[in-house]
Amino acid sequence: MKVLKFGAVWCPGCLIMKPRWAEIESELPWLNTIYFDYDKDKEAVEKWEVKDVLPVFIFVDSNNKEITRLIGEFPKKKLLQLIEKYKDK
Amino acid sequence: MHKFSYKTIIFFFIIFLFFPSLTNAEEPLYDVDIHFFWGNGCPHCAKAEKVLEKIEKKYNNITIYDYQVYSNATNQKIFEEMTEAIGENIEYIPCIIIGTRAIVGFHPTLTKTKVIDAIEYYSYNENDGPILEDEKEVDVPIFGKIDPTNFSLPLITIVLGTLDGFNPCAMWVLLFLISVLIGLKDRKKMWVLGFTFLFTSALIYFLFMAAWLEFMLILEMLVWLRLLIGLVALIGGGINLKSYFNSNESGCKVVDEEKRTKIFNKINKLTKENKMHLAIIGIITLAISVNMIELICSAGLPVIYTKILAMNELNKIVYYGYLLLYVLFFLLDDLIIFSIAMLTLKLTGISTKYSRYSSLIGGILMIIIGILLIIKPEWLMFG
Repeated sequence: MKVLKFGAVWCPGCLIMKPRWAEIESELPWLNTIYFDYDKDKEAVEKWEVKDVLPVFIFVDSNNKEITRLIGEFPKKKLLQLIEKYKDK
Repeated sequence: MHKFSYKTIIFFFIIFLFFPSLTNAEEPLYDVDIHFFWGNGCPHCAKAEKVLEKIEKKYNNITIYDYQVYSNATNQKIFEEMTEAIGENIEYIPCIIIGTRAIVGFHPTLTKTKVIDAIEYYSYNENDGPILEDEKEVDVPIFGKIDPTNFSLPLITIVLGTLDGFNPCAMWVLLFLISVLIGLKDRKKMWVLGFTFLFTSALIYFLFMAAWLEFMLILEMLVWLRLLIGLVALIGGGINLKSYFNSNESGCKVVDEEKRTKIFNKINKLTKENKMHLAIIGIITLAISVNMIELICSAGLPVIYTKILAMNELNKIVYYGYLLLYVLFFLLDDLIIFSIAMLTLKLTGISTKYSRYSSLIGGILMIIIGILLIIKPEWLMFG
């Protein structure tokens, strides 16, 4: 499983989520996360159908298929719960 | 021992009896309260006011309380209560009440004579007329007696200003600008351009608020305008509450790509400008264009606030002081984010989850103000 993170430098919610993900990533070094900039990575934005609300976090399985997505701000606890739930997918 | 003659005693008796002012040439015994009821645009009231201003300079034991009654329900009530208390049914202004004496209308010489006569009388005789009870003062431990009305208008200014400005999602232009400025690693340029952007934004909003205030002051007497703004407050409050209850989502809606790209290109171009004055001009133009667009969508709270401000009779300097206070708190979140970024060189965001609470508090407050504007406007007159 990997997590695709979509955000932008001008998006306050993305700035709030950035340190939360940084903490998780340092606690779980095996976790694969990829960041996409909403303005620069247009191809990924289109491919994963990221609409008009940011930030977006897409949990993807080993076959590159979407398991679930979160839109907006979420507490670290909620992110850890989802990672735990889908880590073997 | 000298003995007074019969004639001398009679002479002094007459002097004391008919010329009390001679006997009172000493310090007055009492302070005299003068209650002056007037109306905006009433020419006789303006003349009476000038007479009172002249008299005020001559006596140091008088206090003039003035009440504008045309558009002030509280003052109208005081007028009714005072005239009733002295047993008169007065419906005209100007009206000057001193003790139990009411001087109604204006006469070039008589008004002045009557006022002076009443002041002279009540300087040496206890007030037998109505006394305004100062119910406003509240005994607060440590601080002693305070008048809560003195704090109400600043408080409502701070609360409404903060609520009006609090929108993390609307900070996208500032956040992008800061992100580019941090990348420049030129501290002076960062401070100058960032501050110029914020200052221009504040100035635009201040001018916008000032225009609304002047509009409200000109049309102060229109009852239907007050009712209309009350209705606007109720509708605005309803929309805010609806957005609180309907939206569980956080995050920000992205501004359309064309507009976003245009603004970002402009910021990139002007921050790379080597000539500082050209960069400043560019930032000013950007702040004006960005804020002008925002103004169209954000008239609700400014309209309500300037109406409340206009209902409180203040002088121009105080009015504009309040507008400055409002704008300062309107920009508070921007100022915090900008200062943190400039000091730490890190971009911080304000959680969009707070927007929901801002909608809830704003909604409740707007509904309360709306109801008061319609049925109890005097409760919003704090002075």
